[in-house]
Amino acid sequence: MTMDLETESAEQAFAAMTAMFDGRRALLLEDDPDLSEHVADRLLKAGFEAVDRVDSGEAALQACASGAYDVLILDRLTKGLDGLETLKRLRASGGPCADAPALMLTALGGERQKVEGLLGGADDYLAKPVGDEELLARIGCQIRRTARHARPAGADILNGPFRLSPGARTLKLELESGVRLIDLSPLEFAIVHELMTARGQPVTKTMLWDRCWVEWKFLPENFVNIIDARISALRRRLKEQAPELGEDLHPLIVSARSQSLIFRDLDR
Amino acid sequence: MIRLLRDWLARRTSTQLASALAVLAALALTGSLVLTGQAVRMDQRQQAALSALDDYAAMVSKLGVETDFNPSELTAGDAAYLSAWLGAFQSGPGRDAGSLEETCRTGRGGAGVRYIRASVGKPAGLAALETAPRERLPRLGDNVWRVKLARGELCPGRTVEAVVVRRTVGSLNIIVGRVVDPTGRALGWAVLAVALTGAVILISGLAAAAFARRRLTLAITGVSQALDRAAVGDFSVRAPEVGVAPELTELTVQANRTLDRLEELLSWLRDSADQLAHDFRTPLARATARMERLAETGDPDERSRLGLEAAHDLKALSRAMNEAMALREGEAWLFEEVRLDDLAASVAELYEPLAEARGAAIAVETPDGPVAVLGVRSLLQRAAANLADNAVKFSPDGGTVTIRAFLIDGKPSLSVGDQGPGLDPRMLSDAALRTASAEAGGRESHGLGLTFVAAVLRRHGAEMTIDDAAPGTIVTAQFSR
Repeated sequence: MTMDLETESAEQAFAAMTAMFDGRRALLLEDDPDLSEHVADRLLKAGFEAVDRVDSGEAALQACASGAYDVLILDRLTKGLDGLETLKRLRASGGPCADAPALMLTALGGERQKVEGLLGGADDYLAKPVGDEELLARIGCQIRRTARHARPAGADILNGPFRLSPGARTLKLELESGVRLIDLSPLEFAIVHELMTARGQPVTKTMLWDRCWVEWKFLPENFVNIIDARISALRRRLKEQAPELGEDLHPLIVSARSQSLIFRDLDR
Repeated sequence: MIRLLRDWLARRTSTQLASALAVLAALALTGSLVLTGQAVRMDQRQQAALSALDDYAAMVSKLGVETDFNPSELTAGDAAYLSAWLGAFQSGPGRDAGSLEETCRTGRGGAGVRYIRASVGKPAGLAALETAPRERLPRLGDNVWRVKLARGELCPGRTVEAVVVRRTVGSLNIIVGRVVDPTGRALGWAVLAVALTGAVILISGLAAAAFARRRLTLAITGVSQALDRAAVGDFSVRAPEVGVAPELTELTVQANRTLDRLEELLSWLRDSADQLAHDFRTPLARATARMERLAETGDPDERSRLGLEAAHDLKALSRAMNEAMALREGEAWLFEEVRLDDLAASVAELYEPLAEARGAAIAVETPDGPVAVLGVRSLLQRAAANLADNAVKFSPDGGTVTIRAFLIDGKPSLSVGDQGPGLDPRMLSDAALRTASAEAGGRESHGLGLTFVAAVLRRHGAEMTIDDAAPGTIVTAQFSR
């Protein structure tokens, strides 16, 4: 029963992402034709209106000069101008792509290279190989962030009876019978924050690792097990502290596909 | 402007700078010599002028006393008489001035010269005083002139300079003067002394510069030879640190220390690479073998089992690759203070839910004070996580994983103990660790990842020991500082 619910909820989440991708345009800088075709194909299937494929930094600059994109996906080691330099120039150009969210998708996955990429203007940095689910969730996250720019940062996030205040770092359960503070450890709060910010859309476990386990400078081999164990404990904690929601809404955090998690959208 | 000068200076070698200084010093000395010469010359002229004025005053008073000499009636004969008298007066005994003859012989000044011309008759004295080129010297007095007497005019052998007073008394034109001493012997000595000093400064400056340069060059050659050898892979050569050039001791020490570190790092990388290569080859060989069997077998169950196992091998391979890359990343000397007690606590927090899910508990034991080491944070994190991961994985139901940070004789240590099946004591040697993962067959074993942990600890100069905790295993990393 629970499994059915989870599957249904997960598919809804991915469907919501498709709706978000609808009509969006992406620029893909990748000089391996097979990989480029594969990524473009996935993006188009996920709902993108257009994916412009280029194989050199110069071509990317040219494409960006003539039109705006909702997201830039850049390889680092490309013919001619490399991806990082291309991004730096785009950011400095003030052109239509200067503020577009950019993901580096590259084989250079070292900690130092990652820092270089983020300092160079990338919004996210992914080391190849990257699964489709991971890539789409990351792109979704970037587009969501851009859309959120209009709202003030640090505003409360509401989901059903839950009110999450990022500034005060509190999660409250607001019921007719009264308001109750949910007791969470800092790590648990970070996880709930990350998932609720996604507003019902999937967050992959690597994304969660990057943003919640920040003191760890690497991805352990068994991070999936570590996260699963942590999430199980968190589910129990939420259930204990919010029994009023009813059996059918728990667990509040559900798995989606193989590598993603969703905080149930209780307003739907 | 200052920047230009600095740039220019930066392009000059020390020898060039030293030579430039020597040349400047010589110029300054020459300049001071010229100025001194002029001052001396002026002084000599002044003395001559004073003497001439004296002579003139004496003569005028004589003229006044002997009132018979009415200037308006002075005859040529009187003039001749006066001239002769003045000659005797100027060159007479008791005067320190030399006679004309001596002046002409030695060139020294002092001799008197005179010329008197009356309105009538023949003038008396040295006619050249009136015709020779002359120049007024207003600073020495009214009507004081400098006269240049060419060779033959006064002295047959030399040109002399005289300072004269030209006056007119009534109808009498009187020129009385003294030969100027040509700057004197004292100046000659001064010139010689200054020139010698200049030469000594120049030579010793150049010699010192050459010596310093040679010394520096020698010391630099030592360093550069050591670096050259290092560039082709020979790290045995070191530059001499003392006894060459004290200025460069610091540089040499630094260069040698860098070479020491490089040598240490290279040997560490070589060892680690050897051991990690094993971690690469084992899963590769296994996956290859499974793929071959997969191609041969027709049984669908067998096929899917082989496929899964091969996928597992590839996972192990990717793990080995990630670890090799992590070592490469940590190769930089980004050593910082890492608190082992904090590390123990955060590793425990990281694995706690996983341990709970497996029915085990994690206990952390740390002293009150800090346990800190210098190290590469990301590598130490990985090593500690690897150890904790293994311990949790092999903990029995209800077992406890104990993570301790402590000090032994002031040396920081970190240990991770479990109550699992333990390692075969025969495999507890460092060399046997390499085979530990291979021996364990398809199952992930306690040995997996220990190669990496050992490499990380070696990088930090720490010693890894694996002890039988009966039951279980305790892995201890003891740091040297």
